[in-house]
Amino acid sequence: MTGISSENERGLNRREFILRTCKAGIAAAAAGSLGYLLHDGLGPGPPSEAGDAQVSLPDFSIPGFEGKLSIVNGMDRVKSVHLALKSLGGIEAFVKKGDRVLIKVNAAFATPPILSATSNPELLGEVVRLCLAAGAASVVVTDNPINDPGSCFALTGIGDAARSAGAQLVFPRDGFFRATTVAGGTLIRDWPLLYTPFENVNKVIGMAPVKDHHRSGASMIMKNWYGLLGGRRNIFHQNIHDVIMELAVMVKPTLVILDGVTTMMTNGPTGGSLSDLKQTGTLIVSTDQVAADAFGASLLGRSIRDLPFILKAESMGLGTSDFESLHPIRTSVG
Amino acid sequence: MNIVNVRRISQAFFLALFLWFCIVGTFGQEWWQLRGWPVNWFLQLDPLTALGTVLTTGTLYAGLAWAIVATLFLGRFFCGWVCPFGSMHQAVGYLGRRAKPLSHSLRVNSHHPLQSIKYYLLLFLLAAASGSLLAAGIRIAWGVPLVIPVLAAVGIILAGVTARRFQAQRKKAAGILLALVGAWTVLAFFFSVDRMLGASLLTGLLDPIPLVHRSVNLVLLPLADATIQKLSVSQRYTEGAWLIGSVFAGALLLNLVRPRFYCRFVCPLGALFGVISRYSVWRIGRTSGECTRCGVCDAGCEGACEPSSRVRIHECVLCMNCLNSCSHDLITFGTAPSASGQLVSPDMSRRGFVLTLVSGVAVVPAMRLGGYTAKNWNPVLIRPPGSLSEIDFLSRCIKCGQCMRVCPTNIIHPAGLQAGFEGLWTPVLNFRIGSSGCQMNCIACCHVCPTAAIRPISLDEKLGRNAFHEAGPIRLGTAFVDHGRCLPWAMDKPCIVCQENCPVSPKAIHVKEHFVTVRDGIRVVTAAAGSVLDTAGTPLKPGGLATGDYYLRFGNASGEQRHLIFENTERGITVDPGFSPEPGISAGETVEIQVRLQRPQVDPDRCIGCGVCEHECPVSGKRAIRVTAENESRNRKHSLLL
Amino acid sequence: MNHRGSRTQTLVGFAVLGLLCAVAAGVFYKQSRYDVSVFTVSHPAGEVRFPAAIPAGADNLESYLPDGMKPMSALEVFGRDNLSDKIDGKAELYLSSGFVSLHCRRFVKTGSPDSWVEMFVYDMGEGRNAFSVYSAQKRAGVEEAGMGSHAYRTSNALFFVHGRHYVEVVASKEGMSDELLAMGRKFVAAQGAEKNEELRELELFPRQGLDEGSVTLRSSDVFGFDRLDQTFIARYVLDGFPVTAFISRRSSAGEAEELAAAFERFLLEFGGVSVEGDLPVPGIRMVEILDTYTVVFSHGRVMAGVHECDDRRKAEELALSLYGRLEEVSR
Repeated sequence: MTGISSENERGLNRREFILRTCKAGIAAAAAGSLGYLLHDGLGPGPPSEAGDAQVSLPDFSIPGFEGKLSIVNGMDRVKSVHLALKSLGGIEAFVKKGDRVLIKVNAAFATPPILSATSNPELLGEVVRLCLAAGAASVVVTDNPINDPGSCFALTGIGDAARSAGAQLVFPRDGFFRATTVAGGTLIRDWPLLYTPFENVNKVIGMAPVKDHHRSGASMIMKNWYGLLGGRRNIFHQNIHDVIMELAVMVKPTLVILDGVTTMMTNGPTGGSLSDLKQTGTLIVSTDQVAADAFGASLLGRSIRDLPFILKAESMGLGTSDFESLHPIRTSVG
Repeated sequence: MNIVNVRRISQAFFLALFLWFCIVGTFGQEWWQLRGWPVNWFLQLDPLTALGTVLTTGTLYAGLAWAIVATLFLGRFFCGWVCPFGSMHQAVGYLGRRAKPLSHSLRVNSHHPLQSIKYYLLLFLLAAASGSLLAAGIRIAWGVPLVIPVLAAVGIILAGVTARRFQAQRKKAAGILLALVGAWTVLAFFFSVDRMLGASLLTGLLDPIPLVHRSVNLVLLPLADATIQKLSVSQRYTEGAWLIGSVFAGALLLNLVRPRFYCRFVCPLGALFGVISRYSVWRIGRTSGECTRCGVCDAGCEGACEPSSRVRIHECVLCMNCLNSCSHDLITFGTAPSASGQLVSPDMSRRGFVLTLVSGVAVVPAMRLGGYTAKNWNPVLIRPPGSLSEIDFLSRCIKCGQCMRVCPTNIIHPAGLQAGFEGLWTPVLNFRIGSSGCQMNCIACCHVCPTAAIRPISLDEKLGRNAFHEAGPIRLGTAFVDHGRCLPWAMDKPCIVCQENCPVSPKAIHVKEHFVTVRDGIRVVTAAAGSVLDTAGTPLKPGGLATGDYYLRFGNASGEQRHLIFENTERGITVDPGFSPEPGISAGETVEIQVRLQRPQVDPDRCIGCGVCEHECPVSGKRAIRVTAENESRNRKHSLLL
Repeated sequence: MNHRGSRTQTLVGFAVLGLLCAVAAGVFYKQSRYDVSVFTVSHPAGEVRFPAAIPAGADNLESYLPDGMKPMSALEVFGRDNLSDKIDGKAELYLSSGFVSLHCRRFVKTGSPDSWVEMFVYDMGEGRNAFSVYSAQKRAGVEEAGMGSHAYRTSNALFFVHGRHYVEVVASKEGMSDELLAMGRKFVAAQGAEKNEELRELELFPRQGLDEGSVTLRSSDVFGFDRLDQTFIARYVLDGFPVTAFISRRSSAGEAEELAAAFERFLLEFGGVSVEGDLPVPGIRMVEILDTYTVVFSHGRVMAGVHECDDRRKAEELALSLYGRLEEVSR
């Protein structure tokens, strides 16, 4: 310390001293906290191996909500879905404020809604509204249909229902697919997955009707994930049960809604006649996709043994085919 | 109501409208997407775009007629009340001098002699645009007999007379003589090589409306949308965004040096409005020659036109700040000439004028010596579908970036120097960066282009259907397989991604089947049991041959056989179990492991250069199949097939 | 403040604001008017491609339209390699039955955009293939369409076989039967009378106890036996007891006999037990498998039998009746 500075020091009065100390303190604190905020003790890691090339879907299920199953009898889908969700703790238990929800519908064919070959638009609209009412920041509705997507979303009524309820409809485009490999899978390896709509999404709802299927025996929730694949996906038809099991490994949804109000009993997956349909008056809402499909099989009059994919999925620990063991909540609407 | 507030409302309104037009540039029919929003309206109001294209093409394309409205009814009001770029400058300039003393405002808002630069820039740009018009004029004159002798005689007489007149001032006389000789040389140059003359529309580089469109569409929006991901589902990219962004940011930051720096010193559109403002009826002026010289009016002046003294009408942006600020009510906006006098012409020197004019005309032939529009055309320059041939394209494109904004797959990007300097920021396709190639059923860019540099083609024309069946589809270029990089060609690895993704029907990419013996693939059988063989040699990767692409080839007396390998261990190879080799293979025989390759080839008759193959190619760095502009429809000279 | 100018300024100000409103209104008006054809691309993965090549002279199905209907979409044509792009998992059913091509198109009722139908014309190569896919998908408890023996309708659809074509006409809602039938009739009329000569096997089934609508034709892998193809299967109800009979016409008597023997071997391989019987049918074989009885025999070029009947007596009864009918016809 030099003589001059000590001279100045003497000149400082108390007020100025406090002021300066405060300023210095604030500056030090600001710099310190900024440094803390920006601190990165580890440094950048090595570039991840599969990082850019491959994607996989995160687990969208909610811990602590495993094995919930609600079965509602009734012909009114809107009332049924309200009741079913209520019995599981309300939509708020699954969709929180600010969540970004993706609903995977079945819009596989450009067929009219009365044929029940695709997700019911009325039910979809209601679920979208429920999600938004629960505070969801956005709801995305998507599928990569068999037929051309424009016609599929228009003619099935799904497009209108989604839009008018306030959801964002995402048509598949070339650039939306990214390669994925299912862990332990033998079929879905380095295969294009409709990934872009899932970016920024943190809740996924699977929604499908109960249908007969010429190859797999039944098309319900797990089979419906097929619509997330791109490429020449029909080559998997040779190993249909294995691929359905792998699809169930690939997608771990928050919630599934299986629409068995009208069931396509014969000539699936396209149907074509109202006489293929049966009013089975049941709506299933579950967090266990295997249990939901197992119950759906009973609506089709099939046993679990007829549908190997259910047992395969169960053996992978994805859920239980013994849906009774989940103590389903059964209710009915007038 | 204070007129300044009205002006602020107007500026806010048009700035918001402009930003809205940028936002709705997304291709689609939702209310927040393109639909019928007149997203080109500001570009169409822009008289510089209109004048430029009129000079280069002799036509005023469709909506550009709006520019007439702007010229007749707005004039300099465009700068002060409408121009979104001007509003941005004004806002930044305001922030820059806020809380500064009046003397600071007085200093930065005083007129600077270099404000005349913008008039030279305007002249330069318009001269560059008028090359073909000049050439046409020269050709007409050339066709008329006696023109040359008469011109020569007039020139010589004029030179003689002026030289005599300035005998006293030797220096000046020499200068003028020199200028005349120069002009004469240039003229001679024109006469001999009028075909060298060309028009290039460079206005878009500095024209504020294309500039601000480009900057917002290609830099600001992708940045903003990256955080909210509302406008596009995936991140949008802009090649060379740094330069566009730097120019934009630089222009805004210069307002801190002087408010409305760009408007005062650079803006060629403002210069154009300035030139025509001499014809305006209502002007800012003073009612009395006497004032207290308090300087308040000058301090708030946006255009630096000095209303306190001889007001420079051509610099006035009609901000109206001076109108109410004068405490003595001396400033009016009216028809009477200003009591303190006014200046209506930009202060350009005659020498500067001629020099700029000549260099503007000469710069285009000079740039084209690079040959980019001739033999040295750049094959990586793939223009959007419907683009005009290169020279016509350059005479229309204003580099506004609207096509790049609307492209649903984000493959159109501003060029760097691929097309030479005059092609800076013109649209060029990049199939690596976007989300796919050029989509078959999309003609968005063609319909959004404000100047028809990309023609408004129909889908039928693009795909070569119906009436266009004869002409065939529009080709952007041709895909070439790089045999040095392509997996089945270079590395004997099976891959048919490009063939699978080719959207043309029938496919432009076809494959040729080859069976190639793999490395260390010649093996001696040590034991054989039915379809399972044990072999000696380098250990194999277990299961590595079970992909369905590998075959076992062996020869014997009855000929050669090739059978699919089902499974393999380090030494064992299982071939198709349904087959038992006849006659059986015994130990000691030699077999070959072969891979079945489908090597892609491009059929140039069918390839349209959409770039989907290039985009999908798994060799993701420098693609193994790449589109170059050979065979592009827009230029017959680039045809590949005779 | 400038008091002299304030009145003028207010007036000008309002004029400018009015002008801005006009600009806003104009822009808003403009956004609703646009050329939809510029937006044809929704660039879904499937639509990026050129439409599938439509063969020259392909039937665009328009000629079967009744009055008051018009095309709603373009003709789509599918072949063996891309049939699953249209009907997904069901393609196997057609592909295994000799499928050649599918022409389909949507039509809409004028002035009623909700009322549309989609017509599917499957060219199955030959009549028996068409009958095969028709019978495999036949719905239970349906109404005769009144268009010949192989046609039925449901409340929203019409299904029939005509010649080598299997046709489905599916409506988007109920109550369009008239249109469906009109389209079906026009199709039949346009194609001309094509009698299904190849379906003579249908007459080989004895009438007694036959459920007429139940006859189906399986093209391949019948009863899980890969060598057995082109087999007609009919359901009988004998004294309230369901029994299944089958008939397959082979190329020669020798092949029919050999196939009958092979089928027996196939059943024995899967745990069946040969049962001695006393029916007056030459070369008859009966196998008991999983508590059911299967009978197989050959008669000339025909291989026939009864499949997996729970009751031995009923199986024998039907086998005898089948043999009697074959004797009768061949006489």
